[in-house]
Amino acid sequence: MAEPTVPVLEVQDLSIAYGPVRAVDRVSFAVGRGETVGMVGESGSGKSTAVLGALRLLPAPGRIVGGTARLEGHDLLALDAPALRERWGARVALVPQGALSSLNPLLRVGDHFAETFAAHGVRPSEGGRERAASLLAKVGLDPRHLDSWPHALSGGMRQRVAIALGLALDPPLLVLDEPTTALDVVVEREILLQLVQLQREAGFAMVFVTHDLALLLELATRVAVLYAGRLVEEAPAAVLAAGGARHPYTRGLLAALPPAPGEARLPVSIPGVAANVADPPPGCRYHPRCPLAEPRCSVEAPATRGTTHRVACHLVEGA
Amino acid sequence: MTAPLLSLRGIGVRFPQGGWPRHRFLRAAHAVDLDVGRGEIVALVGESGSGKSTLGRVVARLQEAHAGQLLLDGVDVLRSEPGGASLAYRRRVQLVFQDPFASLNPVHPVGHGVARSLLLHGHATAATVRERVQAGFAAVGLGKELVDRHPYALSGGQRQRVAIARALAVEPELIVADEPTSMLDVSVRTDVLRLFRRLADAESRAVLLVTHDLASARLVSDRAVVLYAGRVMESGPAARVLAEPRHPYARLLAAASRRHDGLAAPLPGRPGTPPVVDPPPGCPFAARCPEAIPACTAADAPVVAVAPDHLVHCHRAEPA
Repeated sequence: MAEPTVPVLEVQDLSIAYGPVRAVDRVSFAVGRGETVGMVGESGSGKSTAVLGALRLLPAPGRIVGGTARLEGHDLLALDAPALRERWGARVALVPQGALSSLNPLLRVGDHFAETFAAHGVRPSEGGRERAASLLAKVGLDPRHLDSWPHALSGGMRQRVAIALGLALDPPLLVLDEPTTALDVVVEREILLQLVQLQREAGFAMVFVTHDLALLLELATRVAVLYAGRLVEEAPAAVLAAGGARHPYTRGLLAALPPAPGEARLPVSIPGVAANVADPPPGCRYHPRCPLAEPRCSVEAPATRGTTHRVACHLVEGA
Repeated sequence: MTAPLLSLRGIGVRFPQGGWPRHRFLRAAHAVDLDVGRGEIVALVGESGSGKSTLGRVVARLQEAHAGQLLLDGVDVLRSEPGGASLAYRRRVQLVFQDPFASLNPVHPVGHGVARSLLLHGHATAATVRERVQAGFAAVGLGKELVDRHPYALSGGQRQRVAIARALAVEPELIVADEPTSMLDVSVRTDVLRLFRRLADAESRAVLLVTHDLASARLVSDRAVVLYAGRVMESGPAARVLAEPRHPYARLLAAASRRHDGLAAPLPGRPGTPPVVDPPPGCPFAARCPEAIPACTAADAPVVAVAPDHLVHCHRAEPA
């Protein structure tokens, strides 16, 4: 069990390349016990790549070209395949984006749990089925669905199964990659409420990857904002929700959100098109769209400054 | 008040599901009434299985209705054009699809589709078509240099604008937009929604906006219709229906979409899926409704006017 002071996951200066393209460039973030860190960005920002890469779950041709990722103090980037397999599922679990494609269509729901338990040396005699049934109940599913086939479940039910599978071995870290993007709002909300409840009971850390900043303002402890492969800002969600965003891109994203009922504000789009990581603009990658850009922004990449509130911008300070 | 451009009256759509000895049906829409006036944006909101996309397809005549009337300027086109939409109808009613990555032909420059539509409907000749396409691009905020690009070279927001330019090329009176922003990044969604607002305000076009996104619907629409299991639950001014809904289902939907108030409060309604195959009698939401009474499962809900222009389909609703 990790000490509260040691982060469950600590990623430093992680860089990931697809061939010559650097999709993630020196990204750092950390998540502690009971915390939820939200990774947000638009398509192509590298948010999923950074998180999957840190856990060594990124398929080829994605390749880690720099940085460190420590899970409970162990350097994941130095582990060999057997040591990784021991940790995957037991110390960190992934809930992937498409729950239909993450479940094997030829296996009943219960068989998925049996496979997970068997891979980690839990023998069937040790009550795997009872444990699987109680996991389904925890995510709000009737335990009789242990005998259901994945195709017979709705999208929301499949995503609940994926979350229950993720929690099967009680990992200290749960990573969720756009887990509710494909779901209806009511189902999404039901699942998020359940997830927050489970986290409160079990105390696991979460990394939540999404394009939905409004959702993170409610769900996350801290929010990391990525743009074109780089971290532009990382701050407590409460600070961002209270209007404390400092980076012009984060401010732009917040201004683009539709107003809540009763909020007298018209959303404003960010002009231009998201930078392409295959051919990024020089200097600060956001400068072509930035309303505050100065000459040096197009020449010099800004350093990330601050500790509790980190910002990578020439024009604003971190904290 | 003039008659609305589009009226649906008692529209029903069902899909056979097989079964023996008795045939089963999936009831995608039932007894739906809906009006869209010129210069008006009406949002059709609901979750998967609510029938909102099916109704959009009925209006675009891509889907047959087995019951009801589809009136365009007072003419029931299901009777006057029973074999499918005429070219004239398709000129007046145009559809914008959800996925701009799938709706544009990848082998042609994006201007090609717009040009084809202009030529097919006689809005341009071979000599004038290029100029017309460029003007159409400018009208949706796209640079004219983009007409020769292929879809892969455009962003999602740009592609959706191309799809809107293609729909607008024939100067339709009604645009049916099926989830036009759900595939787009949040930073560009607002621009596409604003474009619809401008088309309604400046050019008096009618827009039927099919969406699951209440926040977007609240932002641009004049009126909203909330659907559940193919039935209208509530309809009226968007500001009231979406921000202060009266029907228990509309309230559940609004509570689930609410942002910035933490994930503390439980949802006002039980989990469940809309009963669309062999639906039981009564209100389809009754099984999930926290306020259900025996009458709810016995008979269809009455239509209660809680204000002259605000209708709630609920046994518990009190008339104004």
